Amino acid sequence: MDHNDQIDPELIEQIEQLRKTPPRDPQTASVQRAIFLAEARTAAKSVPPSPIQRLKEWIAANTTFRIPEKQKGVSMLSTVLTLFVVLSLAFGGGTVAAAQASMPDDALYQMKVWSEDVRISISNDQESQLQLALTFAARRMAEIQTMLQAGEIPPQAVMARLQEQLQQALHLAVNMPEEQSQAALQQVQTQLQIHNQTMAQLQQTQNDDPALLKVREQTQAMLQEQLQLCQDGAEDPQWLREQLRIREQDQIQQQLQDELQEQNQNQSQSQNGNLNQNQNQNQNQSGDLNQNQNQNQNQNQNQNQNQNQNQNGTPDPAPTAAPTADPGNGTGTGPGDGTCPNCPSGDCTCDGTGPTDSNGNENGNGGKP
Amino acid sequence: MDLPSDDELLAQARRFDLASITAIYDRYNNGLYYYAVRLLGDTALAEDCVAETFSRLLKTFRNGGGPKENLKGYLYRSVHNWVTDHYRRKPTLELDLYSELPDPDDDPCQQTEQNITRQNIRTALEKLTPDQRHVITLRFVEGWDIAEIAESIRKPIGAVKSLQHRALSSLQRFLLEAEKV
Repeated sequence: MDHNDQIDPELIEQIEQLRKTPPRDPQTASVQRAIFLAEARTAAKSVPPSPIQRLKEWIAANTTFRIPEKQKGVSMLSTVLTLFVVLSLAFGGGTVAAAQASMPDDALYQMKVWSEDVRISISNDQESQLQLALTFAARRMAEIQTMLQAGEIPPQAVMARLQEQLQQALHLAVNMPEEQSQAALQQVQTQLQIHNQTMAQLQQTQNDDPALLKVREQTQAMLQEQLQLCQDGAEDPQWLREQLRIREQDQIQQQLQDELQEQNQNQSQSQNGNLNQNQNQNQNQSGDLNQNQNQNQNQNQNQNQNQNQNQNGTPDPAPTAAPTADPGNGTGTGPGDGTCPNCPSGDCTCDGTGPTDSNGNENGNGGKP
Repeated sequence: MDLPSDDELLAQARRFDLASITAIYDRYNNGLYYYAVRLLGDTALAEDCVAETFSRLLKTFRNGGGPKENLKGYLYRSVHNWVTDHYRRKPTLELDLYSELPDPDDDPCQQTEQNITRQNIRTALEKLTPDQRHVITLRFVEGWDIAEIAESIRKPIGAVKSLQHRALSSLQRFLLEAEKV
C-alpha cells in the first residue's frame, strides 16, 4: 500500500511551518562551542590509548560514582584500593578503625578519608551510596563544628570535601528512579536544614575572631546554596540535573583556565629573566646602545601583551570563532543569515539550516514526499 | 579537498581524536540546534539540549562506547530522546507568542497566528508516540527521506511508512480536536 497517496497536503503544510525558526544567536553558539571543546580537551587528557584499558576504566567508572573533582581520581581508583588493602594488611584493621575518630589535623585523617572513598566505591547501589555520602557529609560537618568551637580554622580541603559530598548526595538523589528520587531529595534537604541550623546556632554562641567568623559564614552560605538547589530540584529534577552538569562544566573550565594562567605565568617569568639579562648586558656593553634599548622595548611590549592576555582570562589561546559558512557545518550557511542556497527566489521561509544530507549540505527540496 | 565522511570522523572520534570530535561538532551542532528549536519552540532549551547531546556523546566515547555508524541518525535520535524526556517532565508546553518572532518587519497579527499554529502542531506532536513523532519531524520538518529515517531508527522502510501513515492520521485528529476546543 502506498501511504503517500493518503497524505493531506494541508496537514503537511501545517507541519512544515515548524521549519521557520529564528536565527541562532552567534555569540551563544560560540560560547557553547568553546565549552564543548574545553570539555573534549579535558576528557581527551584522561583517555587511555588502549581499548582494553579503556574497557577496564569503563567498568570501574560504572561501578563507582564520579563527580567533577573526583574525575582525576577515577583512574587512581585501583591505586587507592591497593594502598588501602596494603595499609590495612600492614597496620591491621585496627588502624582503619582508629582513623575513623581522627580529626583533620591528625596523621590518620588521610586514612579516614581514603576509607570513605573506598566504601563509596565498593558500594554498588545508589541508595547505599547516597546514605554513605550523607553520613560522610555529616562527619565533615561535625569536624568543622568541633574545630570552630575549639577556635581553630578548618582546612580548606575539609570545606571543599563537605561541598563535594553534599553535591554528590544531590547528584545521586536526583538520578535515582523517579519513585525514589523525591524521597531521597527530601532526605538530603532535611540533612541540609539540620546542618544549616547547627551552623546558625554556632554563630549565635560564638563571638570571636574575624577569621573564624568568615569560615562560618562561608560554610553557611555554601549550605544555603545547596539547600536552595535541593529545594528547587525537588520541584524540577531536570533543572537540578542541568545545574549539576553546568557546575561540572564550570569546574572543568576553571581547571583549564588555572592551567593556562599557570602556563602564562611561567612564560612571563622566563621572559622576565631574559629581560633582566639583557638589561645587565646593556649596562656592560659600551657599543650599540640604541639597538639594545629597542630590543628591550620590544620585549616590554611583548610582556605587556602577555599580561593583557592573562588579564582577559581567555581560556583558549586559539580564539573559538562561531561556526563559519563551511559547507560541512551542517547548515550550508553561516548561522542566522537566513539565506538558503537552494531557494533562489529568495522567498523561502527556511533559515538555511534545515534539511541536510549526510554531508551536512542543505537539501532544498524540503523533503516533500 | 574532500571532507571526511561521517564514518571516518566517527572512527577517529572513538579514539578520541580532538580534530575529528571538533569536526563532528561543527558539522552537526547547528542542524541539531534548529531541530531542537522546531520541536521545543524555545531557543534556550534547544541550546541546553544540544550541549547535553554532545556532552553525552563525549562521555560515551570516553567510556569506549558510542555509535559505530550512522552518526547523523544517532545524534538526531539523541536530541529527539532529550525532547521526549522533556515532554514527559512538562506535559503542557507554555505558549510563548513572542519567543519565535523571526522578523520585526513582519505583520504582528500574522506572526502571532503562525506562532499559534506552530504551537498547536507541537502540542499535537507531543501526543504522538515517540517513534511516530520522530518519523514525522524527520520526514516533514527536517526533510529526510524514508530510507534515511529507516536507517536512523533501525526499522524496515515499510514499518516507517506505516508509522508515518498512523502518525499523520493521529495528528489530523488531534488538530481537529484542538480546533473544536
